[in-house]
Amino acid sequence: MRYRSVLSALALLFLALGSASAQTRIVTGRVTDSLTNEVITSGQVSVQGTTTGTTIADDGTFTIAVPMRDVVLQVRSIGFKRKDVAVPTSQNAVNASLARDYFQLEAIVVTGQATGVERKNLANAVATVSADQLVKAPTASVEQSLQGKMAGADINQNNGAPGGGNIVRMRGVTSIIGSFQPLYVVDGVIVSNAEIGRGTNLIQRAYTGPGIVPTTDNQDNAVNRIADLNPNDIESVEVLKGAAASAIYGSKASNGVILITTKRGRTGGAQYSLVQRVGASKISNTYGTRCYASAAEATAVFGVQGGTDFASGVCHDFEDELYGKPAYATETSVSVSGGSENTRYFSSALVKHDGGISPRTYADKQSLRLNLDQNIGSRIQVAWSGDIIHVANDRGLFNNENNGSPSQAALSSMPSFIDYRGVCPDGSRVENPGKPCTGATYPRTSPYAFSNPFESVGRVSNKESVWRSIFTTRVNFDLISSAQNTLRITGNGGGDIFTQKNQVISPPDVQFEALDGKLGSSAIGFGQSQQFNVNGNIVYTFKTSSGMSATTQAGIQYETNDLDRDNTLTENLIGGQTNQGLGTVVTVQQYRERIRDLGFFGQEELLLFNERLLLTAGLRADKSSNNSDPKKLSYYPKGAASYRLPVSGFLSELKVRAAMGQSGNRPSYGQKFTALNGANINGLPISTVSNTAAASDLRPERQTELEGGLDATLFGGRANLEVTVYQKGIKDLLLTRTLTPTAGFTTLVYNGVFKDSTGAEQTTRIRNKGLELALTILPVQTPSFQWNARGTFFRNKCTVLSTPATFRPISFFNFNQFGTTQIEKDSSCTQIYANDSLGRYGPSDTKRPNGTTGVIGEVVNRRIGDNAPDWRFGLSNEFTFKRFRLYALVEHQQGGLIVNFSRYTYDAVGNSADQKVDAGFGLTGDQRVNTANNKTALGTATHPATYTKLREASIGYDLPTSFTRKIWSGARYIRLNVTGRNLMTWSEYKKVGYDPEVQQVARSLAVESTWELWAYPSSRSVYFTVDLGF
Amino acid sequence: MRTYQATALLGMVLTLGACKGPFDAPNQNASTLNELVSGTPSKVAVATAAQGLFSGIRGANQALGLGILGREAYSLDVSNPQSTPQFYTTYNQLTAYWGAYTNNKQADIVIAAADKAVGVTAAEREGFKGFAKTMKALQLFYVIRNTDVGGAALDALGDPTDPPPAIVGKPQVYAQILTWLDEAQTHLLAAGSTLPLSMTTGFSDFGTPATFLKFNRAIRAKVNLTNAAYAAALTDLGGSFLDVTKPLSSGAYNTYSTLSGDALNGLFDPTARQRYAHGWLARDAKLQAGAAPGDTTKRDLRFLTKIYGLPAFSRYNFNINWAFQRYPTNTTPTPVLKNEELILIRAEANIQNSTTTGADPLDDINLVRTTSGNLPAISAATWALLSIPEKRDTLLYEKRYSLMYEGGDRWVDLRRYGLLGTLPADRKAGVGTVTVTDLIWPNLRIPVNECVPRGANQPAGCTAQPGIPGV
Repeated sequence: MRYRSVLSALALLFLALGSASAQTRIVTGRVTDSLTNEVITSGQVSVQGTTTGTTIADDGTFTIAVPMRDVVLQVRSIGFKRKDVAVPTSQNAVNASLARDYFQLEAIVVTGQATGVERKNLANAVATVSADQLVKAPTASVEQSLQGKMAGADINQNNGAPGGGNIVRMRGVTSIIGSFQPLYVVDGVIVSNAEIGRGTNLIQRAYTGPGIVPTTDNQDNAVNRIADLNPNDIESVEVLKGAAASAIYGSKASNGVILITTKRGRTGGAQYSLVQRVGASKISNTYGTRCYASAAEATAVFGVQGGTDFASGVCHDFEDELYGKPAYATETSVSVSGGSENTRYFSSALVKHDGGISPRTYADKQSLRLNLDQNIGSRIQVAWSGDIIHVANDRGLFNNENNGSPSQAALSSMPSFIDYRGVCPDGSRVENPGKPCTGATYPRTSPYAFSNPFESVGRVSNKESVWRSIFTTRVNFDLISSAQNTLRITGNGGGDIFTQKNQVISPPDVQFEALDGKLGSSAIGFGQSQQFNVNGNIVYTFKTSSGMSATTQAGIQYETNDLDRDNTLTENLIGGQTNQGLGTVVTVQQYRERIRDLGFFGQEELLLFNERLLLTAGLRADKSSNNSDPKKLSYYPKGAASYRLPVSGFLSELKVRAAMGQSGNRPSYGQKFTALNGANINGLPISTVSNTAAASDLRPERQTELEGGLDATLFGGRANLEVTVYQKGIKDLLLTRTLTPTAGFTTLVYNGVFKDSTGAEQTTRIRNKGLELALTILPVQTPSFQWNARGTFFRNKCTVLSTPATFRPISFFNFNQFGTTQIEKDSSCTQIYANDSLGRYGPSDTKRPNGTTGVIGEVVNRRIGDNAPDWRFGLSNEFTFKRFRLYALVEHQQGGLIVNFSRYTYDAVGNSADQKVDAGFGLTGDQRVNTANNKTALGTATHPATYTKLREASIGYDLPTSFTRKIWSGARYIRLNVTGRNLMTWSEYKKVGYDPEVQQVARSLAVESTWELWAYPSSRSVYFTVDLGF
Repeated sequence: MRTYQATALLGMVLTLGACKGPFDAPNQNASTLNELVSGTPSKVAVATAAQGLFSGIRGANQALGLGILGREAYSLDVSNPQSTPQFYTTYNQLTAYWGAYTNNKQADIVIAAADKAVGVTAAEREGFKGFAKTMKALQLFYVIRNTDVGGAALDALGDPTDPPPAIVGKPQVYAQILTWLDEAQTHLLAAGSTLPLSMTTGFSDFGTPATFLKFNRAIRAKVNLTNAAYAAALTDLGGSFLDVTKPLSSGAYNTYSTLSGDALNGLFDPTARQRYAHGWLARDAKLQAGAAPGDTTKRDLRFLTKIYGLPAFSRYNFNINWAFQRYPTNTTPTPVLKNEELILIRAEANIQNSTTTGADPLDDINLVRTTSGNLPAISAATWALLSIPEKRDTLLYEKRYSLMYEGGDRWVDLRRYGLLGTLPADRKAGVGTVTVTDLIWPNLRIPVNECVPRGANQPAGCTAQPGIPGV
């Protein structure tokens, strides 16, 4: 019965639309930028109070059929403020001049699975970074492009290796042992940011245990796979920083969510854009070399053999010989966009090569994308996005090891008086280590070191090849579409599939191959990741003519995630063959993950009082196969409110907002199992109980975030200020409790449950409190000169609120003399404890941690600092003068600590450039290592990480259109750009290490201390770009 | 029509929401412990877990760690300079031995599973228990010989979340080891003629209840000797596999292979990257029978077999001249207990006991020094002139070279006789950039992660015994 009435209502609606077209008139118009008077070439025009609309054509004009009465046309274009233009019955031609929306107040920001609101009403501090801000300077990976551009995130590049590898920590520490990287969503599909080890560990033996341990083999200097995306395809990036905004993503959202939207086709003729870049990189900092003046000096460090080998006046700068040559980069990217009202397309292609400063290392990327939008009738829209990406790279041998194989590890103990470069058959030396002559032989570095870096760099390869496709189809079905009521059903399905192949090949006669007596290694890794998700939403919107609107939505989401990794290592390569069938010693490893998640959600949004008040309430329920009880639903509510105050005077907009939300962080795959591991002894099968026991009730961590703030637009739209304070508490924290080994297990994975002194059950809790400021000012806005300045400030403080006991989370490196994180009630989550000498802070520094008095020089284990930065500041300035554009972005990090193990190894051997004479650091190498051997930390190997970086800088020039047309009549524009990335770094840390951003591994734990450990050297880059539109 | 659609929709939601399959997948990467502790495990599962105890024994080899403390070996890894000073200044580096308790947890699980397993005869249950308890006792022995006066916990906890077990004194620990070995003996005597599990190739001489009992008694002899219970050691040797007619190298070994999923001998270091032999081994090596005085190419055959010379160089202020070739391949077995050691145990116990039980100690010593070292035999006349400490020192020389770089016995033996102070300090303050003189450690501290959770209630073994100044 009701079914029939809906049908008749639909029929009536069609009839009404049909009759509306009976009496119309045609209005034409032209849309321009109010500042420059240039035409605006894209956007929409609609008739207020109806569903009639059209698009703005390439030449800035539009034509629309409107009713035979006075109407108001709403003109909108991305990047500009919406404008209502009254068109009386008598008028059939209009000119609309739109003001620039510098602060993106009218941009739609996602607030639900299928809904969004305009930024001016938004109740959360969601950072949005648009395409032109994102690709100011080329980066290896999208998250790197966000560095310094938003408040609320610590983003670090692991090292200088080409191809990416970054860590994002959003609003502080969100987990102790759980995953802590944000969730990435591309066009509505959750995509993988997995780091799949390259297999170099099988050569370098950083981790010596059996099998693949994902949290351990990321010492492999792996790429986190979000780097595969083509940054040029991105239209915008929205960052949901905490649970208040990300609750709609449920139990995977507590580390924040990065929503990436790719570019879509626009109506009109095909428009092409071609970007050609060439660039070069140079090493930005070196360790330097100790030169030896006499045989006695050499003997003191290297023993009798050193004195024998000593050559007077010879001092090789190994880093210069290895990494001294510039590396070149090229990038060609082309895109086309166009279409009709009903069919629009965007397609792009990319070919990119980044050379690395270590010879023979590189990162290549090729990608193809096709995004299609098709309207089927007036009610159904289908949007398809898909890409195919190929990534190939070689990252050399770097990072942690236990056999001296990586170049960097060898450098610290190689005497500079010996020439270690390859020797060609004709007796000459190999000048370019990446291009050794045929038949080159390499001097052995033993007994000082155990690999020859020139040989490793020239002959060992560490290649990776990834094929990936991310694809989505979204179908919108507008069941009801009237000025007052809309009912839309959205179906969204997609996937992310990639295969990753790695091959590390080390020929039999490479020096370090003799270390294990098995000559030659070929390690192959195959990884396959398949993620699929489907979601369905139903959204009902009710609008009144008074401007009130209510949006109701409900949805369901199902996700599958399968990962399969297979590693094979073959050694004793017969005749140097790399075919795995030809070795005599074979090791096979497999690691699999299988995850299923299901979520339900509902949300209500009310926009009231002439779009001044926004109220939101929502609820998500999730279950996951990673939980001990896979059937149990966890509920995550959220609520938010914002109010735009009526203001006048110097204030043009003022909004106060508050939001609260919960989200979760489910256990990682496999954490819920207590494993019985299989192995063998000489073929005899054995099983051994895992050292790690799992609690029987493992469940997601739960984050509750409260966020409040105000957004103000000041001085007639010349300034915009966003102030946000937040507090997020995390309970049910996943922890590995270090059991006393006499428990029979060494660790217990659980949710931090314990009984307090009163016997009440508690869980481990931490809290982050923070402040984010973003101020954008437009001091000068004239048609010929514009100046935009933007500053962001972020500080976060994480405190442990309750813990069963003071403990040090298990991480890679727990060394008292260098520092480990200590979790302790009422203290910072990232405080570092280390052995330290009393008296370091002056004569009155005699108090032991337990309160008693000690003597100066006594070694005590105490807090030496904090791993997390205190605050972070980004400042960008952009000047546009006529056709010239000048831009610079500076980022400052205050605080943080780095353990520099590389320098410690130089010091321990006695081979630091400043071993005997202080080179401005304040201590010599001898002094550093002696205090370290006496177990003290600071001044030895643990150093402050404060830095200021000139992240991006560019100068651009737009060729005059008249000139462009003379070259080629079809050209729309030609822009020239010179861009630099990380051109300058100011930091005390540079006196002992490569770069204050460095991390040895892509951390296994959010709270883990930061290590520099034979890292790939960092570089600075310059690019020249030609951007051609036609 | 509407009802049908609603049902279909509901069905879909229920399929997603309640389906057992996709959300209940088993572990993709290993078995789970539940398969062994709950329900009725199969005989194969119990046997496989029992065989896992070999892995624990293999992992407990301390040739290197104790070899460093006893000044037999150096581990100077250019990749890990932080690990070197600790052997000479703190105990932090040596904590792995405490893993004995996770191995003993596994033994407890095997013993419990043997009772529940299906398809297992009563004799086979005894076999499982006799095997597991012997391995447990050996593991606990490896702990107490490290901590010595620091004591140890007797067994792993039943429930891992219980408060940590008491750390008891050295006498109680030794008593517990002997009790387990004797319980194991009872089980093995009731185990029939075959064991329900397979032996590794290194234990191939001990594959039946009767022969495994010989291993059990041999362990008991070594335990008693280490605890200075010499008479008891001599009794135990009677039931052991000591046999002067067999090769001195016969016995029980940890084995390695290059098979995928197996481990390699970590002491294998063909290019002498980080493991070196102490110079005093060369200084003290006696010359072979018939060698010209001072002919160092004719040093003790054991020295020449196990050590080779390197160009002299220095690392971290240690002067290095020698490296080991004791393990010539990455699969060379490491001894658990060999005939040669049992013969020397008999000699040592007889010397200390002033007896000749089983054999005259001089005969045992001469057998070893002539066979293994190609040294001249000691005449009865010379022997008769020696005092007991002198005889002991003669014996200790043989032990030092026969067991060199095999299990760290040198350090344990010197401690038993209060002789650690005769070891060299190696690096002395003021020489080169050295600021602190090295010390000799008399025992291993209980690892920090065992001590910290105990709060204020710290057992004595959590505090290090003071270091002893060396020569």
